[in-house]
Amino acid sequence: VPASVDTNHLRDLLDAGAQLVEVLGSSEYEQEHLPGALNVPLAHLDPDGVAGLDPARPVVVYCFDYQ
Amino acid sequence: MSPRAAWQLERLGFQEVYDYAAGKAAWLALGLPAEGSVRPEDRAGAVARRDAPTCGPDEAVGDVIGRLDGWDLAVVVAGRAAGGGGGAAADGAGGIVLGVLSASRASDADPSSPVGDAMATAPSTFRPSITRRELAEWMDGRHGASSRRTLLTTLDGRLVGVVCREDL
Repeated sequence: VPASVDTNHLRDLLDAGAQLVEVLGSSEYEQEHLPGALNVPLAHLDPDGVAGLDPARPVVVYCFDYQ
Repeated sequence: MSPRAAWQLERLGFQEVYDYAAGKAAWLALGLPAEGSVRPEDRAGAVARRDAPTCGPDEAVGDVIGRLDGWDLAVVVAGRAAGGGGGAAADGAGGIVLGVLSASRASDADPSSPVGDAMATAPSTFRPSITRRELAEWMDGRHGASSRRTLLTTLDGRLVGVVCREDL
């Protein structure tokens, strides 16, 4: 089960080298995203869409808020 | 959306997946850095007036009127001493916002009555990360009632400052 993390935990994970993925659309991503985040919109989370991610490394996903 | 994404990544074989459920909204509201086309000066926090008068709910209305200093409101906050300037703490944020005492409400109230009895208790508040354009739309009434002044607060409800429509 994916674990939910708060901001402090997120920063720790990023410091440890976790991959960060924004799953919003590309226009929202281009306006503003967390430093270093990649963009893979939710609809593109398939084997091709995640080809640039390393499945063996931690990955953190986020969208705009809790919705 | 992000919980679905996290589940999907697990299905695709990712071994260690986390969901930052609070998301971009929380990150930006904390004033943390971001990348992209939106510049820091595009955000409402850049034009917040941090010298708006503040007061506590137990102060007398008449005492607060005396220090509005040209403002048409005082922000009622908890957890600070009486005075102006928002009662900023070391991180730049002030007390918890309880309400707003407008000059018009104050002038109609008994000067000896407590501010808590005369204030409006549910002012709209926004985070400093909202863009000036978005906030202008809200203040112009495109999403409800229009306003000339609005409050910026931290995620935990502490006062950052007051934004005046003419500054956006």
